[in-house]
Amino acid sequence: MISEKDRWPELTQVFESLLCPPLSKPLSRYGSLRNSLNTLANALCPSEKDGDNGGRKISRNKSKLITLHWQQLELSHHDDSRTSIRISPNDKTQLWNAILLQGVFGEPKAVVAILTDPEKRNEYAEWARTLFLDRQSVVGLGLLRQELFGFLERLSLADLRNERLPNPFADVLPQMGMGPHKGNLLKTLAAQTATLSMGDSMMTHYLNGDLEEAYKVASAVNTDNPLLLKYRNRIQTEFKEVQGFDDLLDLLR
Amino acid sequence: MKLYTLMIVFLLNVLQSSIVQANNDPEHLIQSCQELVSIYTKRGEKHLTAGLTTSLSEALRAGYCMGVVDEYRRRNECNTNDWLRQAQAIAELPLSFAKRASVEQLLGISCDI
Repeated sequence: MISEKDRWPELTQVFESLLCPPLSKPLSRYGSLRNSLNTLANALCPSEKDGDNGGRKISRNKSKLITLHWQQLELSHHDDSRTSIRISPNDKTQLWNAILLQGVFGEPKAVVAILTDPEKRNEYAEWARTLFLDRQSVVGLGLLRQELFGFLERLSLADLRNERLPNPFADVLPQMGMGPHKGNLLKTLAAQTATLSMGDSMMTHYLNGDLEEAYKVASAVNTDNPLLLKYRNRIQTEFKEVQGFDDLLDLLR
Repeated sequence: MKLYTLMIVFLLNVLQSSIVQANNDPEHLIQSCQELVSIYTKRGEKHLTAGLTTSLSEALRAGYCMGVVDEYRRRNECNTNDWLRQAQAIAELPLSFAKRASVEQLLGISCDI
């Protein structure tokens, strides 16, 4: 007997319809993306083993954010039977938003927190806003500026079950494990910001004429940024020169 | 006649420039010692400040004062055995004083203080 749930769209097809384009079919080409998406689906709909019903069922005692359905496919010419995972058509929007959130925040744990806990959601939205909007440029991160603004704006306001957030990712999802951020955009961003702000404080001290503080920070700055390196060397040279003048004065005295 | 006037003009020029020179040297010394004292004051105030706020020409001037005082002390007895105190005494002399005294006199006065 075929239930209504067996007519639900297949999860892999929903993923494809959501992500292609900009990605090209099939999604199985993108190994790490597929793994990430599966992890995400598991986090959104915790399941456990089940003898019937395609081998899995939704865990009763855990909250679910999307409804999945496991359908056993009888394939006469195979010894093994395959399972088809289907998703409630009502959950497509929520799934889409979850994918974007995973892209930005990296961990499914964060995605679940954002979708369930309004307080956490505000916290994450605030964090993302600080990290993204205080930057001069997001181009190098494969992000679309206009969509990013839209995403950040709606992130704290939208009804995530019914409103699709704008997609800030140009053509590559962080889940694909490519690009400079290796799948964890926000952490990379945070690390970068930390380096930058270290450079900031170095430059602030320097421009305020506090060469000693600038030198202290400069000695701790560990960066590949050529501009920061240039200033760091300059500050170090200048400090040694001025320090040398002090020493000479003391010597002559 | 013309040659005669030219010679007078020339002599006047030489005389004038040597007067200017004579007037400038004591003044120059006082200013240089003021630089020297100010550099050491900055050195005493805060670490690195001297190096950050002293220009190259200020440093060179200060070095001139230091050298002149040093050289004088090599040849003469002085009341103070601290060359910086002597430099300070020179720095405190009014600039108008420099118009009436020679470098040697300034150094002598600064030693008597």
